[in-house]
Amino acid sequence: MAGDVLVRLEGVRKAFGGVVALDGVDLEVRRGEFFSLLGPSGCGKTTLLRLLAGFDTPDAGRVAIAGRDMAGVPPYERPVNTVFQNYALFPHMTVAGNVAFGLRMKGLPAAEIRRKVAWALELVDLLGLEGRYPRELSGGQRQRVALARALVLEPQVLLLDEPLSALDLKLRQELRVELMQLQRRLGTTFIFVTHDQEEALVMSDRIAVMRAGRIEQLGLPDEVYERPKNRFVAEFLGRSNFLPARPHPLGAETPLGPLRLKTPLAREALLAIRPEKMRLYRGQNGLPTRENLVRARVEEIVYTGAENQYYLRAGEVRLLAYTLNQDLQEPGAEEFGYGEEVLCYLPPENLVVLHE
Amino acid sequence: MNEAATPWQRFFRVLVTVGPGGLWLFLFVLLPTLLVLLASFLTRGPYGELTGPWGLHNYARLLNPYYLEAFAQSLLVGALATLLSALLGYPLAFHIARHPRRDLLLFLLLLPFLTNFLIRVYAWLVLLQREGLVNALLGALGLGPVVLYPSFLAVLLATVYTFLPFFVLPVYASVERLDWQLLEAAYDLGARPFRAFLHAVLPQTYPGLFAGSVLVFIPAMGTFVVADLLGAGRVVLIGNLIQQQFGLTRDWAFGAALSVFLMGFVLLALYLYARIQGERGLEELV
Repeated sequence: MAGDVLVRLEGVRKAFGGVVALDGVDLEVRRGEFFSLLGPSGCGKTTLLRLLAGFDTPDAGRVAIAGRDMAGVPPYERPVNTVFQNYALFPHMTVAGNVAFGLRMKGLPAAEIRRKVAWALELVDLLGLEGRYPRELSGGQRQRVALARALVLEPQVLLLDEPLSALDLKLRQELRVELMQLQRRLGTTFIFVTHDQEEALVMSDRIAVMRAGRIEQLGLPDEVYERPKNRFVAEFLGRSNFLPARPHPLGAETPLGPLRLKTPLAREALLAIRPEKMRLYRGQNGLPTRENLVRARVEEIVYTGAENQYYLRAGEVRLLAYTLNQDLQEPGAEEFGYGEEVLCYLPPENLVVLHE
Repeated sequence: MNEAATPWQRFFRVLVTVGPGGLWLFLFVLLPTLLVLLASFLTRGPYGELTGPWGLHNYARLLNPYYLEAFAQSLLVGALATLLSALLGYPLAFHIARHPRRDLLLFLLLLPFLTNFLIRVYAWLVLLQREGLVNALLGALGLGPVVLYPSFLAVLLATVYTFLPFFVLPVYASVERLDWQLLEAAYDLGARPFRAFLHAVLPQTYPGLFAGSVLVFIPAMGTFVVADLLGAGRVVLIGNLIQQQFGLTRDWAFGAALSVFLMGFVLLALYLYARIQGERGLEELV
């Protein structure tokens, strides 16, 4: 089932009045995949979705869905359906009317429409609200109607344009889980546009990180997070400490002194390390090694509940390190105070080399 | 509102905000309407003055076939003018709303109002008469001359011409507020262009369509200048009848009864609409 390519983009370009929205995008989305397009606003992710839906046409390049070239195929003939960012429910139709709309356009018999509408509403847990109008629903309920309205047509690909961005945090987190469960249950290919890195990491099978009309990196969530290809990806997904580095026999020469890497640098590069990969120690006790240790002073402490964030200064370099608020008996989980001198360990396997 | 306000403060606040407009409406709308209603129950005196006896005799006269025919013809002009305005004005409103220079187009739409209404109707008379420009053109094409004036067609033409902007403006207002994403949603769900328009765009413009229809239908039904000049006696509308009673015949009592009847008809129509559409309909009209 999963594996074969369902959506294929080749060299797709699109500009709006001289402003380039997509600058040569190649992309393959596999059948049954939960695929996320992640990027800041204006990176072209919504444009890409609109090209797939058929609302816009590419200036150059090819879009194929299920092996069929989509050039000249209008939206109403494509095997895809869209969940819009602001839902775009028909205000003069009830919940049932909205969900039935696509089935009516297909000309299905009334009995079948009723059956499918009931199926779709049950799927999104909205049974009993058939007769309500969109204005009588909460944001989360509207979101579900939009989902049911698209899924009832059993599309090959479901396109979701930041469907959770208008909801508050708690609801968003609930719906994330529901969307994932729904996708697994139906096996429908989801292409999900978001600017929320956490959303993308949590939900996706694969992520494409976009910037300025290009795909910067494409991969599994942990690949993209743990092994970012460049500074943009590292900065857009989570936070990182960056260190300019030159070749050195040990690994790399940095403003913090020589650091050991898994493979020594061949040329100048940028090193990145996630704050949660740093380890902090108070004294010489329990140190794992004598290398990759940096003496730093605690300048600021931010308590977020699950973790402590330490803003450190080592000479001229500012560093950020997170420690989990777990059992304080664990090594490396001590609490430190303002102005305290700590030893900061940068594990070689967590120092990522960025070439940009 | 400040809850600490004394009754006097509240009174003055209402007086200052609602007072002037309310007074105006009372003096120049409510009071005259009540006077007309009162007059409709009185009788014409020998010199055209209003005297007793009281009664419904003026309303009984409305059943005369001559008056019923005028009423029917008014309905016909009103309905046809509304229909033609819709056919011409609806697409026009879309065109203006989506045009980059819509400020200019709106100005052009309202440009005729800078000229006196009477003069514009006379202009139609000049255009449509036997030796007019239209007949000259038709003649050149070997199609004329045709009697365009005086005629029902001329009345209808000039009525549509006069009231078309009143249709376009409210429709324009709803087109400007249109959520075009609904059209995309309809396409996305498999609707071809015509059905997408029917289900996603048209319902959003109902308020504008209704407001436009009312703004054309009501004055088109009641107008008398156009029918007078371009119908030249062949087209008698209820507005002409009313004007006759207050002018030529000096039967103010019967004229008042005709007016009350027309007003009642319009109010009934609006009431029925409100019942069907719910309160929102009338709110959006205003």
